[in-house]
Amino acid sequence: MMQVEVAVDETHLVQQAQRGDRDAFCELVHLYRERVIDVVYRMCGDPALAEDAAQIAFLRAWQRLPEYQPRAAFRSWLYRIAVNAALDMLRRERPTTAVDDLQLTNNDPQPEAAYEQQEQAALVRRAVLALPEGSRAALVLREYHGLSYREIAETLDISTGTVMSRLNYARTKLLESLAPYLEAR
Amino acid sequence: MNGHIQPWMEAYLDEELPAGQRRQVDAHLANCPECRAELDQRRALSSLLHSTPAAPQGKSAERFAAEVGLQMQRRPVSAQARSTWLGAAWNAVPLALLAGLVFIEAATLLSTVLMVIPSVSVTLESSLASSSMFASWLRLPAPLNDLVGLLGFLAPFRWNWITALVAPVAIGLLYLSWLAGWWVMQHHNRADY
Repeated sequence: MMQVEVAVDETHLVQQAQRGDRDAFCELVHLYRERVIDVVYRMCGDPALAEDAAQIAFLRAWQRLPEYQPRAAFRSWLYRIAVNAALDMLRRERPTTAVDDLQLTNNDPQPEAAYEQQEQAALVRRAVLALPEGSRAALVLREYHGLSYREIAETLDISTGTVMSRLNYARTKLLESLAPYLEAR
Repeated sequence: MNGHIQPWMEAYLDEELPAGQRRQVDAHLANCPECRAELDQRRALSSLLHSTPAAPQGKSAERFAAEVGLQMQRRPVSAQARSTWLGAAWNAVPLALLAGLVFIEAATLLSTVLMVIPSVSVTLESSLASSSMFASWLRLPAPLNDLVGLLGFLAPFRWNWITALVAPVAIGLLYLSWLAGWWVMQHHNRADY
């Protein structure tokens, strides 16, 4: 019931924003900010670039909102813009923060465990970033954002069969590159 | 099930398999340690991926939204209205083509009918007027004779190969061009983000 209400609210906000209502669009920015930043971050691996690319994605979405047709979910449409903004950003600028340069915070109670955790997270991120763009996008949308195959297909404009083969490729590659960590678990 | 479940592994893991196939995979997994091991590996990978933290939040939600708001250019209302008007006009093209086709076909039919009626009326008149005492009231009523005047207006639509073949083919080609344009626009809208 709650989900239906949220969907109705979102549909209403999208319609208002399509008519040029800036406040309605800002509501949508609030609603999707974290998710869009996360998609972009997982795609490019740099938190600073991710925020910039997410803002660019929202600006593009605002400009192109009159063209949006509700036969595709708004979320899929927005994620598509976010993925492309991340890829554009990656092509234009190299990430400024290497994923393995992340620093420990001083007040960590167990610095060694925290260091290991961060090192592992950095390695995972690096392995994900090493995937080809298409496979990486499919993996990010599935693993971190729980999109269904149909939604991923809509977002990336590919067939569900291609979604499946990209996910298979991505996971097989990650199993190879992260094998030592998987065996240790 | 013959062989292993490799082709269905992803969909099974992501709970995207239909119930029937899922039952088949379950039955296979119960008897295949190799596939079970691979599935466990993939589940471990998924859990490892989820152990990486989400994107660190640099700017506050308010600041982020405010920055987006500041850079948002106002979409001119006139441009929106123009785009809506153009969109409506574009969507009306197939209807206009259909209406054109119906008009041409109807005009051709009417023209043909009018061409037949006057020739019949003239033949009747000339054969009866000379021999019958009722010639005066056998004369065709004036309104029907006036229809002959329409022939001038409908002359371009008289049945000939232009109206019978060229017009429908031209309208069909225009419709196909519209369809191609529609497809290109849809593709452009989807691919250009």
